[in-house]
Amino acid sequence: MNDKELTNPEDWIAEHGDYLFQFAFVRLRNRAAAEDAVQETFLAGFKALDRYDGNTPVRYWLRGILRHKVVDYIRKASREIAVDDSEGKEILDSLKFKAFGIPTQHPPEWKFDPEFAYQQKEFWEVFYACMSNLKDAMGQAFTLRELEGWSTEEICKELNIKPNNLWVVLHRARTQLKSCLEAKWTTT
Amino acid sequence: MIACKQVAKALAEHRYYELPWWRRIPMFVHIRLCVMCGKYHAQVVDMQKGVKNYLEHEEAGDVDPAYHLSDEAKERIKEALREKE
Repeated sequence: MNDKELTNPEDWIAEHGDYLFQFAFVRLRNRAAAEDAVQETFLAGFKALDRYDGNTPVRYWLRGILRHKVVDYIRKASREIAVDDSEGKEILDSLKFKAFGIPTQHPPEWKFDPEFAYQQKEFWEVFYACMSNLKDAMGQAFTLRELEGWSTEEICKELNIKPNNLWVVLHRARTQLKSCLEAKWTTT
Repeated sequence: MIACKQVAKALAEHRYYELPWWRRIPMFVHIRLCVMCGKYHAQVVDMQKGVKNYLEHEEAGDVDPAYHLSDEAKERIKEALREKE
């Protein structure tokens, strides 16, 4: 942290506000919640300033605090989103796995070449927008698994769902993300 | 040979590129022989690679989405920081 940032935490807002907001928004998909999480992060950072050792850039130090705030919010929000357990069976059926787990339906091909798209800088804005559109349980599960790298056990415990249900929710999330990418990237 | 469901389960529970080689090999053999699983595997892995790439761009700070902290929120945070000072 440079001296300016040490003496005036208000400068954090201009320097890191947007970065931290974008980090929170893509994980929470809710502007008010993301703004609250950023505010709480700045206040917690300000309070903990004397414990900051300077080994990590301030942006990543604040991001570490924000990561905990994001998980706290997801934990709280997941209690308000009921996941119907019967959904698991329905979607496992929709995945067309027979008794021995043999899929009987071809997954639709990509409408664009993902490897090529990943090389395009503009693609990541579309990817961000599509991840930000995932709803409720899908978004929460996707954030914890794909963006935060949590294990099945941790996610199931946190979101209070069964492993089969998580599998299904993640499958839906990927399907929705793929549809969104195909709609937005091909028209970009 | 592992079953289709085991391939799907492993992909659901792990990032493919983080699986140890001794778990990837039986999956690799399976998806070479099973067209359906091959396609399913390719799509899941493409998506996982996409997220991995995204996280690298996010880390480097070179994603510029059209989402910004609102002016109202900035003012609110400034006020809250001033109260704490």
